[in-house]
Amino acid sequence: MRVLIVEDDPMIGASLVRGLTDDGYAADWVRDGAAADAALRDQLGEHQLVLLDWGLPHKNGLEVLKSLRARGNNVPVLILTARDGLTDRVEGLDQGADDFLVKPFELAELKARMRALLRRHAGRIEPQLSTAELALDPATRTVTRAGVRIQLTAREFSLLHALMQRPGTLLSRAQLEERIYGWANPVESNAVEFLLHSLRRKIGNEQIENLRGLGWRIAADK
Amino acid sequence: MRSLRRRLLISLWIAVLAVGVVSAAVAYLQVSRQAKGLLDNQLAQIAVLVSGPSAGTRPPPSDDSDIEVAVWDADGTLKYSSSTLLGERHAARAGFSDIRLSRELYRMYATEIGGQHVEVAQPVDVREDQAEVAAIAALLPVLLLIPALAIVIGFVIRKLLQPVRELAQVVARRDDFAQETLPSAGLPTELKPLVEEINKLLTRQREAAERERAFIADAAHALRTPLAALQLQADVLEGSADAQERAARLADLRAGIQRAARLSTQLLSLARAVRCRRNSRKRGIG
Repeated sequence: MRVLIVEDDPMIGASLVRGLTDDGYAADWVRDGAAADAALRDQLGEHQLVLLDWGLPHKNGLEVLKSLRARGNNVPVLILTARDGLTDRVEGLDQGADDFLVKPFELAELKARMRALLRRHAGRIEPQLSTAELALDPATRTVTRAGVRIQLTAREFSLLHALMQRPGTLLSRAQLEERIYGWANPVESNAVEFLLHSLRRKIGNEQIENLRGLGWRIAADK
Repeated sequence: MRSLRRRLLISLWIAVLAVGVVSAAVAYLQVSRQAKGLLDNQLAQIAVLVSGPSAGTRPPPSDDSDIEVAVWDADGTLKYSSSTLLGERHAARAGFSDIRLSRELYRMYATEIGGQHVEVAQPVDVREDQAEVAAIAALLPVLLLIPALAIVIGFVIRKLLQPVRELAQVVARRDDFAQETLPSAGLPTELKPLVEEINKLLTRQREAAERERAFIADAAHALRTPLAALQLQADVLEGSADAQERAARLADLRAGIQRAARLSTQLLSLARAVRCRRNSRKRGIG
C-alpha cells in the first residue's frame, strides 16, 4: 500500500514516514505543494492514498487538491491541518477531500482513518480481506489461514495486502514493487520474487498463482 | 458620591433663600417706613380738619387709631380736647415729635392754623402695629414665592439632567462583553464630547482585544505543529522494535521537545515585546 505524504514540517513528515513504514506502507514524502503536484501528476495511480497538509509552501493544500481532482484523479485524500475552523473543514471536504484530521492527532487514529478510506475506496464493507482460506486484517495486521495465525514480516504483509485488495486481479512485478517500495527504498532486482517465495512458503504455495510473464494473483475462489 | 444634581439644587436653593430673605427684609423695612410716613400725613390732615370752622363741634374722625386732638385759640385758651391727656400745650414748636404722655409714647403733630394751635397725637404702639400689618402684607408674596421657586428649580434640574440619567442606564445595562459604542445622538452639547471620548476609548479597547485574540489564536495554531510532531514521535517510538531504531526515534522525540520549548520561549518573548510596546505607547500619550 503506497501512500504519498505531503507535509512541510520535517519532524511530522519523518515521523509519519516511520510510523507508516512500520505498518508496511510504502510512504513517499514531499515537502511542498509544487512537489506534491508533480508527484501526483507524474505517477498517476501510483499512490493509493494521499495525506495532505493544508498549510504548504509554494502551493497550499487546497490548490493541490483542486488540481488533483480537476485532472480526474480520485485517489483518497486525507487532510492534515492545524486549522480547525468549520469553514476550513467544509471547504476542504467540498473541494474533494475524503477526510479531515486536526493536528495534533494520534498515529493510531490516522491509521484507522486511512484503513477506512482505503476500504471505502475499494467498495468494501468488511474491514477484513479474505479469500476461501486466507483472512487478512489490516487493523491488527494479522493473517490467518483456515483460522490459524501466520507470522509475516512487514514486507510480506504488504505484498499479501496488495494481492488481496482485489482477489483474482493480476498484478505485474512492477505494480507490486510500486506498492511495496517507496522512493526512499530502492528496489533490488528479484526482491519481489524473493518476497513472493518466502510468502508462499508461509501461506501455502497454491495460494498465489503465477502467470508467467504477466504477473501474480491470489486465488479468488471462495 | 458627589451628586451634581444635589449640589446644583442645594446651591440654587440657598441662593433663592438668600435673595428671598434680603428682598423680604428690604420690603418689610420700606413698607413699614412708608406706612409711618402715611400715618404722619394722616396726623397732619386731621390737624387741618379739626382747625376748620366747625372744629370742636364734632369729634375727630376717630376709629381704632386712638388719635387724640387738642385745639387752642390764639390767646391760648383750650378750645377743644379729645382727651385729658392733651390738657395743656406740649409742643412749643410746630412739626412732628415723639412725646411721652402719661407713660405712653405718642407721635405728636403740632401746627398753627388760622391763629389756632393744633396738636394731634397718636400712640406709637398703634402706629407700629399698623405699620407692621402693612409690612407683613407686603412680605407675604415673597415668602410664598420662595418655596414655589425652589420647587420649580428642582423640577427644571431634574428635567435637564434626564439625559445623564438615561446615559447611566444605558451603560448599566451593557454587559461586560458589549462591543457597540454608546449612542451619542440627541445628547446635550456638554455631554456629547464625553460620550464621544468614551466611544473612542471603547473602540481602541475593542481593537486591542481583537489583536490579542488574534495573537492567541496564532500562538495556539503555531503550537499545534510541534505538538503534532511530538505526538507522532512518541507514537512511532512506541512502535519500534529494535534497540538501535528505538534510540534514533528517542533522539527525534528529544529534538521535538526542544523545538516545542524554543517555540514557547519565542511566543513568550513576543508577548513581552507586545506588552512593552503598549506600555511605551501609553507613556508617550500620558
